[in-house]
Amino acid sequence: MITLTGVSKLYRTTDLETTALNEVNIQIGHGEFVAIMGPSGCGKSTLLNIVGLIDSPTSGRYLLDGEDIGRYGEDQLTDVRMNNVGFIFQNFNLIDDLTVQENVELPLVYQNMARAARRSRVREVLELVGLQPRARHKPTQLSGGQQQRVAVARAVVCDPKLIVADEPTGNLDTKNGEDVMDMLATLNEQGATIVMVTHSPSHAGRAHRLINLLDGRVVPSLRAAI
Amino acid sequence: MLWHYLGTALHNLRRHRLATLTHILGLALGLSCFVLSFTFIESLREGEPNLPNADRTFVLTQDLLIHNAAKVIPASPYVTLAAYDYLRADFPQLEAVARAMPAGLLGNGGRMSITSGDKGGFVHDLFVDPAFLKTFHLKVLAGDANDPFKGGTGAVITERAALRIFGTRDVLGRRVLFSSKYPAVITAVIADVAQPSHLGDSDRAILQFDFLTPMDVKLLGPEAVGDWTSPATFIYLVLPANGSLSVAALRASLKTFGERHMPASTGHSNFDVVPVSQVRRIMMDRQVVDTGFSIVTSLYTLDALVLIVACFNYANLATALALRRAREIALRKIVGAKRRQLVLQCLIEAGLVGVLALIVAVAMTLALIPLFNVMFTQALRPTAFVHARMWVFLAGLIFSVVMLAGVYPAWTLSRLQPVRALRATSSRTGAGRYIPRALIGLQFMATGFLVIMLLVVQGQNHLMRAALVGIARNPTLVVTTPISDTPVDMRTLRARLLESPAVESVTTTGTVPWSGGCCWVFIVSHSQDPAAKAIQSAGNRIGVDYFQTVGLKLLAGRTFRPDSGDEITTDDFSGKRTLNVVIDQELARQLGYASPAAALNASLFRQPYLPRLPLRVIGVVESAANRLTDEVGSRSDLYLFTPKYADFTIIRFRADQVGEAVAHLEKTWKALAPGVPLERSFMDQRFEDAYATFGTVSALATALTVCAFIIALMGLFGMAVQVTNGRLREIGVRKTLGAKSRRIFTLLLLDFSKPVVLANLIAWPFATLAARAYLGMFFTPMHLSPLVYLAGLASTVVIATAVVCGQSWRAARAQPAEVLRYE
Repeated sequence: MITLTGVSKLYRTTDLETTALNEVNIQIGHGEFVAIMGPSGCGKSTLLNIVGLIDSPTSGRYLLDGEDIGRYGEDQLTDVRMNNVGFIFQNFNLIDDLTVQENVELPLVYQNMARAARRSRVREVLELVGLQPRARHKPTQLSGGQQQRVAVARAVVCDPKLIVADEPTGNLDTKNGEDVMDMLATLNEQGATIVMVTHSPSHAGRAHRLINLLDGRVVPSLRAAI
Repeated sequence: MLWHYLGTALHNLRRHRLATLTHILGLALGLSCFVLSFTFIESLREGEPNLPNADRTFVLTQDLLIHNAAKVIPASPYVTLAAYDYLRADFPQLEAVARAMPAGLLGNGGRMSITSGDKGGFVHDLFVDPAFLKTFHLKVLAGDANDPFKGGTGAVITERAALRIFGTRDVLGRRVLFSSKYPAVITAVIADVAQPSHLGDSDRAILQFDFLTPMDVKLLGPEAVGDWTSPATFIYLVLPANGSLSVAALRASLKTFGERHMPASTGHSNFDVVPVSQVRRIMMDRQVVDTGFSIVTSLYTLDALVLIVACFNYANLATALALRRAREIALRKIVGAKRRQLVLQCLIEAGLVGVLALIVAVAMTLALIPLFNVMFTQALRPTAFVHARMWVFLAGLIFSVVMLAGVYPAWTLSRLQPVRALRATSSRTGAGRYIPRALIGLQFMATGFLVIMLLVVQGQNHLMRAALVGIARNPTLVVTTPISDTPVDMRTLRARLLESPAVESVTTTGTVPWSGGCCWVFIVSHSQDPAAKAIQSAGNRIGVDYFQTVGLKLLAGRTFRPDSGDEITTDDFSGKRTLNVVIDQELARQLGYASPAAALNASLFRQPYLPRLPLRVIGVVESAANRLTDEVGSRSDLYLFTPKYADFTIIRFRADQVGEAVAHLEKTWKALAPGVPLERSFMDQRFEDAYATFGTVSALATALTVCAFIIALMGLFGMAVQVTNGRLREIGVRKTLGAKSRRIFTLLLLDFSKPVVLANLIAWPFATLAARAYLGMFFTPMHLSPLVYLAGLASTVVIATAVVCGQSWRAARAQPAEVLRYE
């Protein structure tokens, strides 16, 4: 599904150049559950952003289902992202001013889906994450675990092929963290490809495969690299 | 999708109530200035809404140039009487050609005395052709509707004048005496002219009238009727309803009208026509158009500046607010929002604010109209809002405001990179750091411009009012009843007035001081050759003891003496003898004389009229500040001793004997001219009346500047809040490293002052151009000193600094531990 070949990402300032990713080569197949691990600043989030199409590499190729998306313009990328990718963030990134229902509905609004169909689909996914009774609440009225479940609902509402999760359990307690991991596992079993950044070895253990990053490079294993 | 945008927009506005209120009030203030001006200009445009054939009725215009290319008179609806017969001959297709000419002396604002038995007063009379009544569909309430001027002695009176003078509408057949000389019989009573119109009996009317009397060519004399260089009448042309003569064809033919009929020796005129509905606007503009300064354009320019300040302010505050939503926008992008959708979202928010601001602005305008009418002696009506033009204008205005104020935040937000927005601790990067400052700078540039213009307007007004000191030192009364309206001989009146010890001196003049339309345009040259260099001056007709009475010092030579052959009569304009004149030191300087004495006995010729009058300078007096504006295109004066044509009396009296002087005047007048109403005024009051217009301009400039300043200060304050909040962490770090609150406070103030100072400096050249154009119209313009600019800069900086002081001090006193922990 995803093929990254020689992907690098550089951040430049007037007198400093930082390499976030250095010649990364990765392949992720359909239905895979991949965990990315590594120390802070190793490029995990950068890699995840590139995989999730919200950032672009400085060099290298990115094939998504065989399509070279490096040639795509901003609007095309937005379309691909809207139809194929769902995001889950560590800090939830819900819009505080919108209700739970409106937050989940937002991707469907930008897909120009009819209002009735939108509402029906939102109800469906909120029931899936067990938050339908909280549909009219604001995110600030929910617990961290509930907020992350809203974020999961928002990520899956468009039925994406790929879900990228950036430390989805990082701000949660153990119980809520496990609940979220259960949800991701369920989604994966239903066919979604999942790429997750995590610091937790136990959560990484639930993935099919582990990608270790160090100083912007993929390394065989952390222990081996150190 | 649209509902989603609207819902989001409403939600955002509700969430940021204070900011929304600030946006709406700022924009509404700018919009209301603009809407009020538009209503005012629309009221001028309304022209003649009650005239059925307004679309076919035009007014002739004429300008006058002399051979050496000086434009003596700019294009105006006041045209020569001589054109009338040629128009009728050249354009037989015209449905009507009608003249209307103020019958009163121009030197007294066209007013003349009227008596009828024991009734009397002062009225405005128009000499008109019979076609005038039909052209303007004046409704005859009583009397002869078909031929009220039959026999040449008929007079038509307005209903309001009849009630004012006679106390009744039943006035048909009454005999009246204009200027104690010209008899007439009232043959018709007409309804007052429906307003708005350029005709009527109010001070706002261009052709003011209470009476209409027939255009009497014999009375005016063949010289006046054949004179192409004395524009004194309006000529109305009504195009045929059948379209046999179009406006375009008429205008094309008028282009050569002057060449075809005007004697080449008198100069050259361009003729044209303007729709009758445009007369009010044109005459309003003409008050200052001679200097290239148009009231309508100036008003729009000033309003546009205020509106631009409001738009920049809105754009800046909206962007600052929007950047606080950077995370939300980034998330919207991540979940699928495209750039154009975000742009649309921002524009809809801007549009919503714009529409709300417009509603507030319209409400403010409606509330301000009565105040505007009082301040500027106007008669604006709120009904202007029901006109389709107004709504089209408002729609266009709001679209422009939305585009101007909404595009920048939309552009900024749509360019946000989601990754950066989610990760960054501050979204103020690159252009985002400078553009708000640039927008604040632009606001203060417009404000700096307005502040300098305000100082110039105030400075000029102060200078003009300085003339009042001189007037107060020489207390004088002016009798505005023309002596020619009385059976009294000037010498007798003068002698009787001087009998009182309260009266110091008495003189006469051809024009009432401070009345506007001051004097003749007098062009003099050292040579008879029409191509020779000529100097334009103001020709003043004066009587005995003029200089002594008005307090002008003699610098060289002598003043006029009745027994020295100085007196000029009508016959002397044949050019057979050399006329003695007195000039002021400014004219002597313009003629090239090194000193007043050097100009004595200089030989001059009056141009461009034939015959070229030979003149001899017998005296030079100091220059007088006797008019506010440069009405005749000259700051110099030339005096002619014409006691027989100097109709208005000026009496100088002792400052401590005002009551005695007035009582003596009234007693003397009653004895010498019983039945002729006495109209008199104090010179300082006349000055105040003449000055009132400039007081109004000053009030207008002050109001607009204050509006712009308030809006710009709101923007600056908004920026101060945004910048200080954004720099709290930096302030915390600086304080941790040892910076004191006072030092950080100074740093912040200097930072905020920079765009204000820079903007003011950039505004200076534009303000200089505008100030020069404005000052150009005054008789005595103020000196545009660097102090004006420095005062403008200092006041702007001080006020701006005061506004951001509190916010800066609050930020400077932030506790490092707190801001670093929470940042």
